[in-house]
Amino acid sequence: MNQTLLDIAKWLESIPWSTELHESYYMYNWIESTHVVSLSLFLGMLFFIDFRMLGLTMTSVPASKIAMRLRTPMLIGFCVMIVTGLLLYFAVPVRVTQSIWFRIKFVLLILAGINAWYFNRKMEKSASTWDSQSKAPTSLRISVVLSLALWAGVITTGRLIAYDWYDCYRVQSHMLAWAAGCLAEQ
Amino acid sequence: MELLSIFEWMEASALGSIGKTYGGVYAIGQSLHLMSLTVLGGAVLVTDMRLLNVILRDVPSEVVEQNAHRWFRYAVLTIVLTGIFMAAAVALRMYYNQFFWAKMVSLSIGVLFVFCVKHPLLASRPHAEINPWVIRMLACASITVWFTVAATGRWIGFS
Amino acid sequence: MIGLKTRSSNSAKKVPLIDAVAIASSVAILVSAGLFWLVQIQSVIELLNLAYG
Repeated sequence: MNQTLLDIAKWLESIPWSTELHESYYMYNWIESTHVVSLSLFLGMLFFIDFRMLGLTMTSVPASKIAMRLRTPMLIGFCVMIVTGLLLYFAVPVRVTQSIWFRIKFVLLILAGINAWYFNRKMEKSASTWDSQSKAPTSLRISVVLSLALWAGVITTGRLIAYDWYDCYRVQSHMLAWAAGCLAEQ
Repeated sequence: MELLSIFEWMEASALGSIGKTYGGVYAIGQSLHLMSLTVLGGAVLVTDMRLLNVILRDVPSEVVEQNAHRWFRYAVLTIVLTGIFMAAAVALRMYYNQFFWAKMVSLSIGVLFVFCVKHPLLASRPHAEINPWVIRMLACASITVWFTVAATGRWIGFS
Repeated sequence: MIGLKTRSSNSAKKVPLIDAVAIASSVAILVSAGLFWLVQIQSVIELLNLAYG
């Protein structure tokens, strides 16, 4: 699988736009800035939904109302982050593919998505019983705490991608090399 | 006391040394800075989009503003503390960086604006009694200043 | 004007001081931020013209 991922990354890198984007004067910087600033829109809305579920804000407002009203700006922010994230990957595909932090971030993103899907399903089924209470039921609160932890992990690992501590040319442990997708012939 | 000497002292201090020596600690500081930026941005956007009648239109704007302001305060405190830690490690570079100063100016303006103008006005009386154009201008100015803080902050890293 | 009675009203129509301060500071922020970003965009365009012709 590591070989396949590397082959795809190398193919993307061979596309002229990839190098042009990476070496552009401002485009790469603006895309990265947009990616970071739109965190406020996407995760800002999500954090407020989570805070409401934990009874930490706007407890006089029904929880499902907060979730529904903040969902649209949250999804707009999510779309912006996906597009800018894909462009950032496209600019430096080989290094990012072989970044242990990017791989962990990707796994955390998937787990956060599954958790969000589970939370939304449970909330829609049960909201009528607890909507006006200050806190969501315990099982949903666990999901919310997990959400906060997973997204904190996504932010942290996203930040760490820029650091080269575990880049392939530095890695000595076989386990780490395999996890990062470093191949012997490199 | 000269500003340059303050920055030199910061970089030579224990705080600066920790940030320079332990890259992992510095990275955690950066991540906390980003997380508090997320909460701050969320508080600003929830409040200002409500004031502009874009979201949460069926929730009283007084409730939204009051609740979001609490989280705004926590976020500003965390951002300032983590920001000082991050700046200490590279203080001299920051001193000579134009975007750092742009960020500091806009951050100061933003904090003064929210704590001395926006929040006191919005807490002084029901929002229905305030001229709607005043509220819209407050919201637009708030979004503008905090966007400038975030964008100039990110550009520090590029210059 | 702040604190002055208008001709047409029985009671004074005052703009509260804090509202006036809010308007003034909001305008000041919008104008100065607008100028700041205009300058940034202009310098970006100039540099791109230099770099790419």
